[in-house]
Amino acid sequence: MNLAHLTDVHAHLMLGNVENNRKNLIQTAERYGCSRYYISTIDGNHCYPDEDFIDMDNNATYAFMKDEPDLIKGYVYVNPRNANAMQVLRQGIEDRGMSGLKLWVATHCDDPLTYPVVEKMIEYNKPILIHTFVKAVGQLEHETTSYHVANLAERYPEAKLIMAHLGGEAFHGIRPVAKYKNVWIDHSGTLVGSEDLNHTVRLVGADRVLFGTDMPIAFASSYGQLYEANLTAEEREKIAWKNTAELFGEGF
Amino acid sequence: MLDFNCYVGAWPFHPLAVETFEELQELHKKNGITGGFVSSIKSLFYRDYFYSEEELYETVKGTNYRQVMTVNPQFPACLDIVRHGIENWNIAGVRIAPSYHGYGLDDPQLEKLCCLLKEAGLPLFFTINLEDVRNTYLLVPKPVPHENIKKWLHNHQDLTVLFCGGHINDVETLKENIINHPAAFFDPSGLRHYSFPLEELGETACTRLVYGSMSGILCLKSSLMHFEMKEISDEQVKRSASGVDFLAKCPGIK
Repeated sequence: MNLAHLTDVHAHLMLGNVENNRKNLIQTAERYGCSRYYISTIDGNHCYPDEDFIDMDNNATYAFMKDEPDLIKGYVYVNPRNANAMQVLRQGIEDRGMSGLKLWVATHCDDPLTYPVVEKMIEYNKPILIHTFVKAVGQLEHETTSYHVANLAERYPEAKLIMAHLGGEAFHGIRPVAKYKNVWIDHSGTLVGSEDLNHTVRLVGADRVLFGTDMPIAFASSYGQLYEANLTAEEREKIAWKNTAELFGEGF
Repeated sequence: MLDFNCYVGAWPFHPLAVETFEELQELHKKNGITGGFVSSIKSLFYRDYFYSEEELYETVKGTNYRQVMTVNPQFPACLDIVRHGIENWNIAGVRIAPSYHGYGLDDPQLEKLCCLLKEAGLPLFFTINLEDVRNTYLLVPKPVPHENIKKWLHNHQDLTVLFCGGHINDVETLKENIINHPAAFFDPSGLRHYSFPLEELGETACTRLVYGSMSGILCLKSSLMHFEMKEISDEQVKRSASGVDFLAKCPGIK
């Protein structure tokens, strides 16, 4: 594996702990040889962040991008329920040079509230990272599952969608989106099942799977999965960084 | 290097990358692991685990692997089966999973099991977590409260215990009790949070670290990375990987 280009497509700063998180991301990059993070800033205490919180989140992301331009690329985080969602999106992409859009748990991703931002992202030709999780316990009211992602992919075949966390559980989450070529999949989220990645690659191939960790929550779990999965060297390299570089059009 | 927490068998709810003993050996070999303490997944789910343990005995005998018998102490024949295992199968310890089998640590049958293990000089493998609770199906584990574990551990000073699959919050909460116990240890298989969890736990706590991966259920490399990334000293890596301190507290392991 070409560790020089290892790219983490799914990392965060957590509002309230930004400075520690920044240090942690940098230190982990140095020790694990991670060349690039795509980050968004979220606040675990606010599933429906208002305009002020969204502003603070995106400011934190942007500040880190400016301070570490080689290491950090940003997603603009949008709550589609907020009246200024389109303005936030435009600022993030056009003024701040962010690379994609992050949708978290404020709406299901196929809610009509998201249509305007998704359509704008199609115009920008940039990816949308969608938190996706099906849980046995603790499912949030508007937490997207892979079925919502499949609906969105069907409605907008031109949208570039990244389904996060293997949909929460690979054996449930991958199949609904497998046929949609506009859906990529990351394996972030402290998932450490021994067969998760093998199953995913079996269903969608190695070209649509992206290395992701959910930093600062975890790194070793995803890194270990990438190493241990039954992949060829070429497949591993694609997942480690090449697919992400191609998807975002941001190589090294 | 040894893996003190590994499994063979199929998981009932989804496929695993490593299910057979041969697959486990191959995975270990790839990662420089020369043997292990292995348990049967079947025994977690069978009411009468005699036959699954007999099968495990036949599977591992004559290899570098040792049998860790998995029991639910509430099964009436539990102590008989464990005695049989000690006398006939040369078992290297007994595993319990109270959060899955649904009994409290004050269960009288568990107490009898602990006494038997003390007499035999064998360790108890205390499974805190198995798979990710978010991904469970049908069987959602009911975690044993940390306070109950602390009290139970305090009352079993003569028993050697290896806590398996503890998440960072479990180990962080229990670490003082583990350090203050004469023979309590933990493995890194459940330490999936943080970049460098062993550094978070600290050097003193890691003197009680014993390598265990929880493969084939979990990805082995994810836990091994904590050793490879030098979160602890080279000397501690050697001690944890060989289990020398743990084994010194297990006189019954032959």
